[in-house]
Amino acid sequence: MARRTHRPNWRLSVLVLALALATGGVVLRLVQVQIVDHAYYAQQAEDEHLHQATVRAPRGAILDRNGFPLATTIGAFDIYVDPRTWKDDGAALQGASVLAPLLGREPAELIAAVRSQAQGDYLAARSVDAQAGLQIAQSAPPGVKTVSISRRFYPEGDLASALLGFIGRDEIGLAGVEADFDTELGGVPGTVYFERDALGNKIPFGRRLGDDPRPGGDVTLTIDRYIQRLVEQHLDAAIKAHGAAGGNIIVMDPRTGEVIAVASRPSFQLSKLNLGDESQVDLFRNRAVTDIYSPGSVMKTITMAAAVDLGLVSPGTTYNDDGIAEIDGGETIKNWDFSAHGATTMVELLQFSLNTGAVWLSDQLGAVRFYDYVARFGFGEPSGIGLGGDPAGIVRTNQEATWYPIDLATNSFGQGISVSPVQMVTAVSALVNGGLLMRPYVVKEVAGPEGRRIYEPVVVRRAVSEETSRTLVEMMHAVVDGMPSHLARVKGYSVGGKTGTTTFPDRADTIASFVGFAPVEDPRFVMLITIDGPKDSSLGGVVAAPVFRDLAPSMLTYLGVRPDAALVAGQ
Amino acid sequence: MRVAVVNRSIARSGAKAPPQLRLVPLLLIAGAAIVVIGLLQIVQTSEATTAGFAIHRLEQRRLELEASVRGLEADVAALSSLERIDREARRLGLGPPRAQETIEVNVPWPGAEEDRLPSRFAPAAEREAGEDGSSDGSAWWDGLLDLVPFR
Repeated sequence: MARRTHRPNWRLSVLVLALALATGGVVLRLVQVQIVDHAYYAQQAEDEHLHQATVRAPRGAILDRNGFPLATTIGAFDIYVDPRTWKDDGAALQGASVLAPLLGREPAELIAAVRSQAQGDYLAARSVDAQAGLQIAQSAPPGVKTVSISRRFYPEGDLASALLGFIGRDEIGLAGVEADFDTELGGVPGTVYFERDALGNKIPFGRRLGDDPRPGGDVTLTIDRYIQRLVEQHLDAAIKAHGAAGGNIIVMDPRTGEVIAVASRPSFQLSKLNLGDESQVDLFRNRAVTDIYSPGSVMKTITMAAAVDLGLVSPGTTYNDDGIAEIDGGETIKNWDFSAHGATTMVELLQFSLNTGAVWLSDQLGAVRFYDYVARFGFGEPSGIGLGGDPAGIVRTNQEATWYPIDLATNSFGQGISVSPVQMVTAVSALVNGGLLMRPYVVKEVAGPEGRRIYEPVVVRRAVSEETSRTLVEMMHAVVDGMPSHLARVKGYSVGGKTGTTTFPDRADTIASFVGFAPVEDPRFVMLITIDGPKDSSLGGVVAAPVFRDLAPSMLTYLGVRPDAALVAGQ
Repeated sequence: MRVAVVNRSIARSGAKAPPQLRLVPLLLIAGAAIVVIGLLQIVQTSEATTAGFAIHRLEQRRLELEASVRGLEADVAALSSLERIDREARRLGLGPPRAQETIEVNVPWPGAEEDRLPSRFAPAAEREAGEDGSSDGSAWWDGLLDLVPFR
């Protein structure tokens, strides 16, 4: 039989060729995707599957000097609703029936609000407490998402609002200690990388990488919550009683510079904080730190200290007060009450708060020495308290072109010079603590995962000698306890101080002030009280001094200072 | 006869079992092994996923407990706040003292030879002295050092 030769049919060849080409194309494409462009597609897959989330670090607490929390952080939830899920009436009714009672809203109103959301999820409630949030999460109503957040909680309410400050929604400090110590309080956020599926859900047991968050540290203030509360209550009462526009009280430990209490009005309330209200912006600053004012007659203690320290005068030195002091250039200065006392000692100068006496002292000192002592007491430079807005004040010295001899005269009794309340109380503390200018501070300690940082008292410089300090203490003691009718006298205790009244050339209102310390033998606190714009009286001795008289006994008892037995027996 | 011989030849040539019959057990075993391995992987993955869910639940539980602890700390702080103390004191009928008396006791604390009060009432300095056995505030080994001639 003849053999049959098999020649490929051309159709078959075409088919084989086509299949070979197609296969080759697929192989080439595979090579391109899996080998040539491997890195690109692997990165895309990584980006698709790996998700990065920032884990907020727990914010540290702010404590008072005894460890009582003034600001702490608690868990809360933001509640979101997906409008697309609630397009279905059944899902909406089911979700609203669970959610609305917990949020205190009507189900129909909630459904309408959700459906009116044009894009994205509807924020049904912000900062819901943890218990309610967990209840919502566990009941899992359709379309409802709970996002865990944290928020600040203030156990003492509005106490020390201006000092504490507040944080924003992103938990970054915006004012006060919250802002100034934001790095210490905020910690370091962590980052978590995890795999997610096509729906965006985290794949359990998927890869997890990243850094754990580092919690923020706790900041311990020098503030004592009990004294702070006393101070705020008395400040509010004084402002109300005198129809004043505001005021400040600062209490400092003169031995260390620690600020034991600081209150300023007007101020915002932490419980009613509304960052969207522009009218509140002016209330956010801590006026006791940031605002400057002319200290008035309180400055006479500094002028006197300078003259005593230089040996120019002693408490018994006299000058002749005829009620008018003449300045180079023809200007005259009179006493505040237009009085004239004749031969007057330095103690009487302070007791009667004589402007003419202060001018006489400034003449003895001269401009150079006077401004040298003004600088020694910290005026003209920021106090270094460590809080934002700490001003240098305005001190125009004889070195400046705009200075005139009248400025020396007026500066000597606290006019024409601007200082902050913190600077003033720090300067008087230097007068009574042996002559050392201490740096004021409000933060005692920061404790975090990396350890504890303790802030120690810092001596800035010696302002006056110890002997001068003792002399001024006795003189200021005579100003209060040496005047039987003085409204700052405290039963059973020896106290000292000086009143001040600031007047303005362009307005009628005044600032009434008093700075006092107790007990005289070993001052445990220095307190500066300023009342802005009192309506009934402008005098520091009438408006501010009684606040010291009312506050001091409670504070001295709390600090464990015993009354002077001799004084008690004599009263 | 020829047919019988042919039949016998055919029978002899077909006496051996075809090769594919010996492969069947091997294939069955291999198939079983593949199934077992596959099942093992599925079981492992399933267990891993279950463990992952459990871990996730425990992590959530840990976060809830941490939040709960913070909440309780806040509750403690609120309960010990001055505002609440003041409110509760007034509710109990307490108020600020109308007068204050300070009493100084200038009588020394009873000594060791007399009837002693419990040591917790002793002044702090004397309490510490009592604890270390010395009456003058010095440590107990100071007595030993006194015996050293060149001290």
